Amino acid sequence: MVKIKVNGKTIKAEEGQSVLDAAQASGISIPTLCSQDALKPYGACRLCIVEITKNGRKTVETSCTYPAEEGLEVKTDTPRIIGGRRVMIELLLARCPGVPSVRKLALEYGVKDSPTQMKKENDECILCGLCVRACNEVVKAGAIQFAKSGLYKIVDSPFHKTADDCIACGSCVFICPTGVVKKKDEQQAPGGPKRQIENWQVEHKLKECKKCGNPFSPEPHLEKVRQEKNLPVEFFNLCQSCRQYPVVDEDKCLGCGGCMENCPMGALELDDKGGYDKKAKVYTQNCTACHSCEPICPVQAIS
Amino acid sequence: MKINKADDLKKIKKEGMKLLSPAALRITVGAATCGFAKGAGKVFEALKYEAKKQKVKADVVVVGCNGLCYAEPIVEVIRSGKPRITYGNVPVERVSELVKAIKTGKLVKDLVLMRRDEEKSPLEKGAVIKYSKGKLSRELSTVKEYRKLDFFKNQTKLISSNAGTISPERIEEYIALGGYAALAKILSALIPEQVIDEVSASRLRGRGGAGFPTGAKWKACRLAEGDRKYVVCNGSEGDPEIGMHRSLLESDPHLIIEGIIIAGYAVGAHEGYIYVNDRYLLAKERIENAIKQAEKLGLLGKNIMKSGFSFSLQVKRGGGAYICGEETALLNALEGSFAEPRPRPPFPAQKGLFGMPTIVNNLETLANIPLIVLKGGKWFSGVGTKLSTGTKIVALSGNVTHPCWVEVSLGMPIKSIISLFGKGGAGGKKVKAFQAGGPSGGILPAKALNLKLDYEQLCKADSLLGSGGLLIMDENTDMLDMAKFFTDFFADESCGKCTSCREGLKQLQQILGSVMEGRGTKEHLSLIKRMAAAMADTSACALGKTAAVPTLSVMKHFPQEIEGRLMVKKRA
Repeated sequence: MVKIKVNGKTIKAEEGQSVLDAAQASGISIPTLCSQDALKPYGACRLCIVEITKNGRKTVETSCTYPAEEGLEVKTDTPRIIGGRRVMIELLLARCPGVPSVRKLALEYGVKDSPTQMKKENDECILCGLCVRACNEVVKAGAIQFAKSGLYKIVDSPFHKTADDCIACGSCVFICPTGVVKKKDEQQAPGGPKRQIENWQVEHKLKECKKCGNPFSPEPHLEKVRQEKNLPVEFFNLCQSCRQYPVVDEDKCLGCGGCMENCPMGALELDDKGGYDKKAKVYTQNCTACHSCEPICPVQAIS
Repeated sequence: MKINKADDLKKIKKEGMKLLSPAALRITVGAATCGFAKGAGKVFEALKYEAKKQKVKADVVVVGCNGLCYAEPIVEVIRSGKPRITYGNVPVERVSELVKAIKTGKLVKDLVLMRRDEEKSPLEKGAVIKYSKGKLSRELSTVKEYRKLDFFKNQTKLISSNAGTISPERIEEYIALGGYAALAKILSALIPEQVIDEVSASRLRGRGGAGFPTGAKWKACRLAEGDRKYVVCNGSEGDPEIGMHRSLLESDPHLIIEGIIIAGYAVGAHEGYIYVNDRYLLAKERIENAIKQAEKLGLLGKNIMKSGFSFSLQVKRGGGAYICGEETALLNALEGSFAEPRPRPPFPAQKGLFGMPTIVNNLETLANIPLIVLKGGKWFSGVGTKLSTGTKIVALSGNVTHPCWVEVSLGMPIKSIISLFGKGGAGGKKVKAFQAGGPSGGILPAKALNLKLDYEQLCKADSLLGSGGLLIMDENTDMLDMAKFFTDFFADESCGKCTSCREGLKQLQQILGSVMEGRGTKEHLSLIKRMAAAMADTSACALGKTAAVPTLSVMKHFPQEIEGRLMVKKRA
């Protein structure tokens, strides 16, 4: 734990935690368009800038990328910082006048519109990189990336063709702050239900549940998860709702923990029932109903 | 043979000396890229042909660039007992005439530039080669001794002293003039901390632009924890008007290699990479050959000079991007990723290449290391000024009479550099403005010529020492044109990662375009000022931070050239 000062107030931060995260955890708000809890900080939008004084030296840094260390002094809203943020908002507004999150920030910072002297475009992408980073860091499909450099930078599929590695999971759609990345799920397509993500020229079939018939996830997405978690081939034949979760018969359960050790999802824990008594408990939010636990139990307490 | 101890070096030194100052004849041709561009390749071939045809026994060999770019092709004649004669602007049609003169011991008077009576090396005391023995003939004494020429008299050639003398393809010649003696010294007599102490005592600052104290950087890396450490030599040289890294690599590649190995020893790294601008085909070829030669002699590789210290070095091709001058963008490029800057902290000394402690040093910075080791940090700190120690290679180009590159003590007035080496504005025109340190340095007016070339003075003038480029602009130069040119340069080279640089440059370009088309207003100018301040504060790296400097400097120093072009509001 380290102590840093933000706008005169001393707050606690974990060693190495970003100044942005530490500030927000203490209720101090700093604007950002490109940072996300699940992703490594990138530093593209430049809105989260703050003044940092360290060892008597003052610099302007992006708070999302700056690690907290003992004794840092941070100022989040000086005239210099506000001025800098306003210019970033004006520049983004000139590029993406229709993007709601940019308009919202403009309202907050009293920016009516980008200056008339700025050339206006009508882009919907603010180049925050969230889609790229999600695809590469979390999903690890690596289907999309930044392409072209400098002023012409875009997010694209390789060679502007169909993104071969895309599993149509839709993480990019979910995480996009402007809505420019879109998916279209068609239940009644002639070849069967499918998902289209036009941005990457991708189209994949949606798997239909063998029990209820509802299409629930793109096939390549399911296949990737199945391979990574070593699940049986038939595992994703059923959708989430139809998959049966294990039930522990506590009368039979010995509390040996064998099922817990074998659960690939960490969905089984030993619950303390008092005294020496421990019983297996299923946490359905983590459970994928793979049924690995069932055959392990020496007393067939799981069904 | 492998060099296992200092005595082995002495053997090679002797061989090198025999080549540099032979019993017979040595004829050299200045053949770096600049020389080749002016026909040195053809002159070299012609010399070999004519020497054979006219039965003149001579070692005809290519050497590097001595900085006299305006006088190339340069041919030098070294004959036993006689001073070294330098011929300049030698056309290929007169090579047979030249060889004939050499054969008969005569001079080709109208091509003679200078003579050299002895060779001195900054690494050793006294003269290392005495070319001229005995009294000079009448004719030879009329040829100017090179140290009397303005061009050489006013230079302090420490890291460029071998350039133009030795063949970049012969390691023996490098060793003959004191090469690898520094490496031998540290491996046998100094511990890494002592090497760092010497570099710290020298107060050497990074020659890439930021001017960070090299000793401090090395110390931080030495203390950092990591499974392995790296040395990266930054030879990306992206500024549009310079080519010193190229000249050094093509003229004296071993100097860089030695500097890198010493750096590795100091910080505890066993792997090094030289990142070379991909346009520099000849430089890359020469440094790769030099590495092979050093490996053959056991000066690179496992257990160097039986010291137990191993170091391997590889050349990596750059993509030609200016952004790779930024050390973290370079590291990304080396890792096979996009050349974009990384957030700092952590700094490369703690987490660099592949997340390991790495020092990224400019090529010129590393070229100073062997000298500092041999003569001591304290000696080095006496060259230049108190805060800007040592020398700087300056590339003089633009509207100057003699485009060239020189090595001067830091602290030399820029005015003197232009007059003594460049011989003033080309065609006798007045110097109107100049740019120091590359596009980030902005454009300064003639009255700033009194500034001294060092880190502090240039920084105070909102410019920077940077790469050491000096671009001269004469009275016919349109300042708005220059502002647009450099803004376009930054726009081409921006990596596009951060909003401020990418969008800021986009708007800057079109605003300048509007002003040039006569549609500019005062509001455009105040917007430029606001954007420039935001870009300087918020950009992720120095490219974005200084992208508006060319425009701002023209607005500050040549206001009439912009304000005079603004749209005049029509009265109702």
